[in-house]
Amino acid sequence: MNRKKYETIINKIKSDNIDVSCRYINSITGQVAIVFIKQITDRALLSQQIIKPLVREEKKYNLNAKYVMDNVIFSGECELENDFEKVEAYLLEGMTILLFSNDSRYIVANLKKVEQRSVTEPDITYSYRGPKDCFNENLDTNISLIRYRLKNKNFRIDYQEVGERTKTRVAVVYFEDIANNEAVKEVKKRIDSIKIDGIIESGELQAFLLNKKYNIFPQMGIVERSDMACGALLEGKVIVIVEGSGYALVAPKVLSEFLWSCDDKYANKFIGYFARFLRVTALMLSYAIPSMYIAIVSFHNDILPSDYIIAIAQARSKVPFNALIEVLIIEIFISLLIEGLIRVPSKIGTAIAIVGAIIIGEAAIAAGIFSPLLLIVVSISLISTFVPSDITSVRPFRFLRFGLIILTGIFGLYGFVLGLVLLLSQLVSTNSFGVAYMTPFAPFITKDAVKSLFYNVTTAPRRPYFLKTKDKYRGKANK
Amino acid sequence: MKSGVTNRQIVFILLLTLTSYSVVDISRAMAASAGYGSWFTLLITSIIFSAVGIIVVSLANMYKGQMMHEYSCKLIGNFGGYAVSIYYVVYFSLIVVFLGLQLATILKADFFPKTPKAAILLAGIPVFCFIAYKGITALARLFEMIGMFYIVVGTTVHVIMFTQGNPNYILPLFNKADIGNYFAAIKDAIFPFLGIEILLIIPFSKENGKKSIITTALTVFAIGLFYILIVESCIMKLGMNDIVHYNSSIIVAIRDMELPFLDFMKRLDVLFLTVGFMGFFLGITIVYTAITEYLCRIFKNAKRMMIVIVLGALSFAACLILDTVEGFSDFVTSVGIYLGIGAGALIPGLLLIIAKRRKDIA
Amino acid sequence: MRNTVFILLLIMTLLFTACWDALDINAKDLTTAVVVDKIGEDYAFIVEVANLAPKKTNGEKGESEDENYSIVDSKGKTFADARANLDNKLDKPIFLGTVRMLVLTENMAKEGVGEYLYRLRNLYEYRKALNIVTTSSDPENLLELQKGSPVSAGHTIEDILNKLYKTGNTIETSASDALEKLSSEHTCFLLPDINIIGEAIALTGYSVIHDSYYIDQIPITETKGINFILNDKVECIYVVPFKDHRATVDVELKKKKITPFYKNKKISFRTEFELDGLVKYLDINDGFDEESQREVEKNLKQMIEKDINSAILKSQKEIECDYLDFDEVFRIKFPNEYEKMDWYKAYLDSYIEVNIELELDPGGDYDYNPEIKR
Repeated sequence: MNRKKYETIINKIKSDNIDVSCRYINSITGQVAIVFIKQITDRALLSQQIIKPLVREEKKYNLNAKYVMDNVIFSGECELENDFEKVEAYLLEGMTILLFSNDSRYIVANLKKVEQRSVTEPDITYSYRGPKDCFNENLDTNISLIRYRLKNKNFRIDYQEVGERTKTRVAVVYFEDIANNEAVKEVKKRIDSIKIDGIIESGELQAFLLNKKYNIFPQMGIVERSDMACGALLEGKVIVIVEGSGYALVAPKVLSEFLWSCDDKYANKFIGYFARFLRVTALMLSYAIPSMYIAIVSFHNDILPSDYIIAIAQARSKVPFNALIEVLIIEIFISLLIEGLIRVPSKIGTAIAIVGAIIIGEAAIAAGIFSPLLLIVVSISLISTFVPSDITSVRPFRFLRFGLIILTGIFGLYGFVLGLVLLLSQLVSTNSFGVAYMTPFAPFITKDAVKSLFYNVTTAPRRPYFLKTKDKYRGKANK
Repeated sequence: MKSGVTNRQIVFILLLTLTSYSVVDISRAMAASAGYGSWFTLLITSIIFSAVGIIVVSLANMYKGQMMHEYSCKLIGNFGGYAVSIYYVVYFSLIVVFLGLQLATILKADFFPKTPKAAILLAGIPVFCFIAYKGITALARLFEMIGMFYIVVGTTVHVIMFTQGNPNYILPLFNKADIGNYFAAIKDAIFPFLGIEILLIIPFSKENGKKSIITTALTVFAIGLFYILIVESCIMKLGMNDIVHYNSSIIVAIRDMELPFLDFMKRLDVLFLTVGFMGFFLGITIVYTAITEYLCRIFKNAKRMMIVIVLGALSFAACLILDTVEGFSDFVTSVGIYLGIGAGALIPGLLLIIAKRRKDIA
Repeated sequence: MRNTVFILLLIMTLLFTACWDALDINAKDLTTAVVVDKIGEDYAFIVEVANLAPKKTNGEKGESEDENYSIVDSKGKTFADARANLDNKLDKPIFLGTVRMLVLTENMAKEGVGEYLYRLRNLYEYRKALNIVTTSSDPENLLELQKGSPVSAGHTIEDILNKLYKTGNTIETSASDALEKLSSEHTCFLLPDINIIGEAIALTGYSVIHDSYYIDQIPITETKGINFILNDKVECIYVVPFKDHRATVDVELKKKKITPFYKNKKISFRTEFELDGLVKYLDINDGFDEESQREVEKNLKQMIEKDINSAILKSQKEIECDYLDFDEVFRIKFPNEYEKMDWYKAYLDSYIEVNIELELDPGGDYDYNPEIKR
């Protein structure tokens, strides 16, 4: 390359206003320009590994790109390039570029450094027994947390880029000899087909990977902890990790899997069975119990024995609202409270929770606005919402509950059953990357259905049939 | 998503379709016609219809991946095939209006006296059509899920009813002098077994295989046993002479049960009604699906969504108009038997014979 | 977009004009007991309604007490009129799903129980498991006995019957049983009779209903035999004399078998009762030797046989009505013959043999004849 071209390239980079810094080192044979974006470059490493050794070599005659890369700089990750169109892209990625006035090649060195959180405890998938290292926003850190657990040569990481402006790195992680090829291909194909300016978080990516735009149910799970990610990979799932997001995505994921937790595997198996049963019950309760209250209080009063009917009627004697309005008011109030508590600063949060409890618990009952039974019903429903381990699976039910409440309020048990049938029909017609969402219950696969409720690593040598994994058994001894 | 209906799903489709037609008043009908030998009449009828099931499934198995319209066109020509499809459309339309009216009538009479029938139908028909739009595969999965609860709850409740009832009400079980009555009552036992022809809309696959024939036959027989349990338990609760006065005898019998040891759950209405309604809805939905499938094949260029919407609107209008026509339900139960025998036994039987002949010649 | 708006409009229309049948439980008058009476030419309803906010009233001793239940009555020329007048008096729609007990007065039962029961059959809210009793006491006094108590009269009567039924010391006739009887060819059945004794509600016997009309009363002292014949499980007490003493024996019916016979157009029944007797206590401390035990067993057997025989005699010869359900037993074994005959007459001439097998346990855990060796 001649000097003029070299200067043109540098001027172009500077004029494009991408906030670069330049360090020039003059040598006998020419000049070396070290170009970097200081906000995303580790300047200490830059000085130590590149600038200092180069300065020492300035009197050498053969200071070209190849020589410098092989003999001068200490950077662990660097390569030679000759396409000058890519220079800006590399700079925006956080790479450091070494341009040589006497060479048509240049060096790309990875000295990227972005401020990041350390590996902390999980926020939304807390476990009382399991490991507590969870993902953060750095892709490499997240991959390292998985890598150190899975020491197998068949472990694959395929990188893709999403977003025209953000060029967010997405890693598709799976076991080549376990995961179903079709599922892997489908995931990669969908990621490839995304045409958007940018992806900031895995949730945005997830929205693009859904089967249908208007399906409320999550077809991919979110993974916050590395042990959960490793567990999913060993089952034959595909994990998608997005740079800049502390939540990875796992596919395929069926509804029953949203009710599993890693604690079921780590704790005593009978406790695990009981916990799973509790979660299934909680899901049903969170969806149905307020509507059943309306059906019994407003329509089908004689479903309960006489004593209970009289007791409920006496408890409601001062309440001015009918059951439907009562339930709607309190559900909306609680939804506001939950939504507010998510964002409120922690110092005020406790106070707000207490105020909410006092208003609902004490004042409303004393004033006779709500009946005590309703508050018990709504509390059970609320607590049941948080029992399943993956909160993303239960939020759609919380939302759809309002529809069921309205249907029941108009048509009683008939409306309740209509709503239930509608929900079930939507669930059975959803699929997650080729796997029916209600598997293993619809279509019913006996062994998988039993295992989904009674699972323990010692009693389940076979991977779930519905995942159609290449390696069907967990371990060679089990074959 | 892999489509197809498994043999297990066929079991539940048959169960919920057949029972939705007449489980509400089968006890009354059997008590009025067969009396103490209802179980015998139902047993014989279930054996006869097991044979019908074998015919239907054998035909479907011969043309894997196709439904009735397709292979009837192959066997008897396009004109014949379309005529057969139109016959099924008319038959199923009659059934769907009958079931819709039955649903609205029972709900209005027993649960919602002030709610207009139009509102009940307006709430239900869009749901049925929405599920019909999803197709047979999704519907079969729904049947599989709800069917399991239906069997468990239904069997448990009726077994409890059986133990709570008065055994004298169903004795003597068999009286030789009445054997003529028992066979004559088969005519009244036919309607509860209509619905096997629904299987003709399901494209069978290799996975179904010959096992589907045995499964269907055993399922229909088991449904007969289930009917026997329902009829005998309801009669044990209400009495042979009083049950004939109730059009919704099963609902009255359930409401008559109280289990003191279960305390606040001693009245089992809510459990039974929830599961019963779900089964009933699915029974109606599959008939809507059947009509949709036939219409989609008859009107190849029409969009499925359009067909479903038009079907829903027409069935709603038909229900409201025919509700004012006196004796429509009786007309359906009397004429429907013959149409159902034609749809379930005669037409598939003839087509099976033609298919086998062609296979032999080939 | 237009389709979505249209669908939303439809939903909103349904929502704002709907909820036709929605009525909260506290917006209804919850009825716990219904008494049906005939006063002269008028039908009367006296209902016990739960007060959702109990009223404070002055009790007999001047202290304030909670009136948990109110009594409301109405009259009319027909049931429909009486009901209309009742609706005029009640501040909320009546709810019959909480009714625990249906009480028919003797006057009403003499007019016929059929019409009201057919009315009950068509009222969806009424549960057919509801028990029916008769009374000859003043119905308002009957219901007002529980005034000030947290338990309603309906509950009380039901609890009394349930408790006694568990030991087989009463029969229970639900609305569905009564309707079945009324629908069958031979309509003769019993209803428990409840009256005020002292200041309490008590079971005082059975009322006999024949062809839907009340024809006679069986006092409580004569109901033991009926209980043995009609119930599958009976536990009762007999005081049996032996020598110059008395033994109080707990008798339990273990097994019962009634076999019908039909020969030469003659109907007969053989009834077999297997009973267990347990000597609860004596009026002496000991000395209950084997001879005494045999005497007690023999006397007890005679007493039970006498009770059963007198129940059968009363049914055949005095009241002349088969309320002991022998028709059911005969119909099951001889259905063709039963269909051809007039059971009312045939029953009266039938011969019913009673066989008792009794096993007496002299004392159970207690030894009334200890062997002292010192």
